[in-house]
Amino acid sequence: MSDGAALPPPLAQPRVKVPEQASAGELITLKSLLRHRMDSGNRIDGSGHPIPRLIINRFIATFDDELLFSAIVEPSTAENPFFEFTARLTRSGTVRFLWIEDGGATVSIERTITVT
Amino acid sequence: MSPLSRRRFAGLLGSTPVLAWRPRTAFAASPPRIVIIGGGAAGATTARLLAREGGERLDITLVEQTARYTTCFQSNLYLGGYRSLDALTHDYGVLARGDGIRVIGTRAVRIDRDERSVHLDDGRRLAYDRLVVAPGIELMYDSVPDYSRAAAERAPHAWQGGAQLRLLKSRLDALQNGEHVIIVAPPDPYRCPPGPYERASMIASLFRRRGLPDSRITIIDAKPSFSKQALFEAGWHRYYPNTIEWFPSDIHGGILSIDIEAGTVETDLDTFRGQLLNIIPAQRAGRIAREAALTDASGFCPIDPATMHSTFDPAITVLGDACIAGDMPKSAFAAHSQARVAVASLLGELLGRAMPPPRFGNICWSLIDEGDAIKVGGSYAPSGERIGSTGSFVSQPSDAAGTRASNHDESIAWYEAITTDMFGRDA
Amino acid sequence: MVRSSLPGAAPDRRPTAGGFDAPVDMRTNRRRLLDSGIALGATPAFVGRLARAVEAVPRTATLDATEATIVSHIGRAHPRPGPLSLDIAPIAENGSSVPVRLHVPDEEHGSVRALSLLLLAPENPDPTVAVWHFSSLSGSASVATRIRLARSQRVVAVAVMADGSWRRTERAVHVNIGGCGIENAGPRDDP
Repeated sequence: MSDGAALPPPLAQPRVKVPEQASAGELITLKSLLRHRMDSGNRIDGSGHPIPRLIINRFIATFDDELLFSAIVEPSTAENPFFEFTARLTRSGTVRFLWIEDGGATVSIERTITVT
Repeated sequence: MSPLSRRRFAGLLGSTPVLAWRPRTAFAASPPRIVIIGGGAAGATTARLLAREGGERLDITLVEQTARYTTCFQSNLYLGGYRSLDALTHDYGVLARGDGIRVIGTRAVRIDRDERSVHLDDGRRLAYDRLVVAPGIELMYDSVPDYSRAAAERAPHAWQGGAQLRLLKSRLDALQNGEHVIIVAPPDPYRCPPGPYERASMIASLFRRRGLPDSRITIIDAKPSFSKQALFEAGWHRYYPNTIEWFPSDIHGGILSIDIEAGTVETDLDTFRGQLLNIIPAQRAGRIAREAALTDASGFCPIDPATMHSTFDPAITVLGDACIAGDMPKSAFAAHSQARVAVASLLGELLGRAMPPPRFGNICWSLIDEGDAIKVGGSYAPSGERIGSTGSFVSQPSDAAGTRASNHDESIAWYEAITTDMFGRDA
Repeated sequence: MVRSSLPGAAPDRRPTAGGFDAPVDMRTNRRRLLDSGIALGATPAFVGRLARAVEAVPRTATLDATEATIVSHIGRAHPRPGPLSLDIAPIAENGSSVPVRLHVPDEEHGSVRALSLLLLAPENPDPTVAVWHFSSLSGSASVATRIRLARSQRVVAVAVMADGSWRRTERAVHVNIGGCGIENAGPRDDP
């Protein structure tokens, strides 16, 4: 980082979809969206200066203490990273979503689900 | 003055079911009667061009229920405060006073194709030898959950008619800082593909000018992508950072319900809230075309690309938003271009004029911010049974600022030219 | 599973048909991920441990080394035919955000589980889109996301299976920039 370089903007509030209820063993769909420029480092701004790389590089979803789904995210993932994936659960619990940005900033959100 | 005397015109009224009926082949005795339904970019252009080229050899009637026509094209610029409503509103006075066009200011309610007559809502019927159907679109309110014609008074579409446009403008002008707008954008095909995104740009510009730094615009789109998307998104990042958020269909997963009073739009992903909902539903051809069995399963009217005749009825031409125009988008420029081809075809059929090879063109301009307009356009020609593209161009992210500014000037000049073609110009 | 070695690090590490020359211990990697998951509570220590456990993807893959990139991700494994669906529209209006869906169909019918999916856009400056890892709670090996395509190209999907095999499929995508919308989209789909 050069002198006077600004800190990256704070991460936005994510949007996620987790069904409020599900049957045990039912295949459910989860969605996650985080507003983020995903600057790949390959673009040049209006004045001809390269825009440095700053992306979300990890996405991790857990159910209670277990790893559910995770991603190593690279610059060819589009702006505003979106992931839709599935889960098959047998008990109620909490789904947590975690995003990690280059440099270590994180944002997380959680939803509870009732499984009967 | 219209060549038709008042007495003869009065003879069209009356109790006989079909008036002034004459055999189809007797053109030599009296001018062929051309009835045009719809006084928009296609219909009004057709009327004036036929009158100019055919003169007294054609009997031309234009049916348009609106006395003062506010163009949908460039209406977004009025929302943004870049054009006045007056500049966008026109009447049919000059067109009616011009030679050879009879303007009827009532609504056409039904086409009787067997009888070759058009029924008007005041009970009159107009017999035709050739019919030009240019009714525009019908909004399919129930394509959006919990939306209806009545709901449009609270959540305007402003996609048709001057009253809806004025309603949306007054709602926008009344917004306070921190109040948000939600735009629901329709599925293809629809009138004016870049329209919802130019509208979002104009609303963002209005927010800035009115000093509403905390107000936001959310677009819930029925589509996974949109016209000139890369250019719009670059413009939004540059001029309106963090103001406009777009959700495509694969991400929001579909609209589940809308509460107009609460201002909420519930999707599979999340529920969005706004103080002003602008809901643009799916569209199909104007009802009069559909009820005359001129549409196919797509909801729009198939045509012969060399003549613009309906494929279902050779005595009927369909133009503008209501027709299936292949690679051409639904725009005023395209409607005007189709009108020129249709007129050449009719002059050929009815007056034996030589018809040049049919060629079409289109340009769509979108204003992103003051002095920055983008455009996309193309040339087209009959290709098999449809209208196909023969070339296209689009603004580039690398355009110089001067190019974007001159795009806007060009669009204003085009507006003056097309409205002159449509409505004529007072001396 | 993901390995940390760089692709093409030495000429003799280039893949031969049907096999790869560097070993990977998939059991070890999987246990590390689970250990990290148990401690999930978004503490800085946890985040660091989990991030290290899900290992970095090398960024130096060259455009003509798609095979080497795949090797670098999956290490020692045998390609084996099997269903892998890659849904992406053949024409992308806007290369900056293209929807895509990957799915291993036979997993739900009780056959061998898929551990991860990998998507490459070989003509992009950074050819890797992402690597997604599934768990025994996933229920299916499927993901939908949006990707960047710098130009028209064939995108490549790879599924790594729990039995040590892998599968591959690809789709050609033509990328337009701009355009005035899709006219005459045909009979209207039900909403």
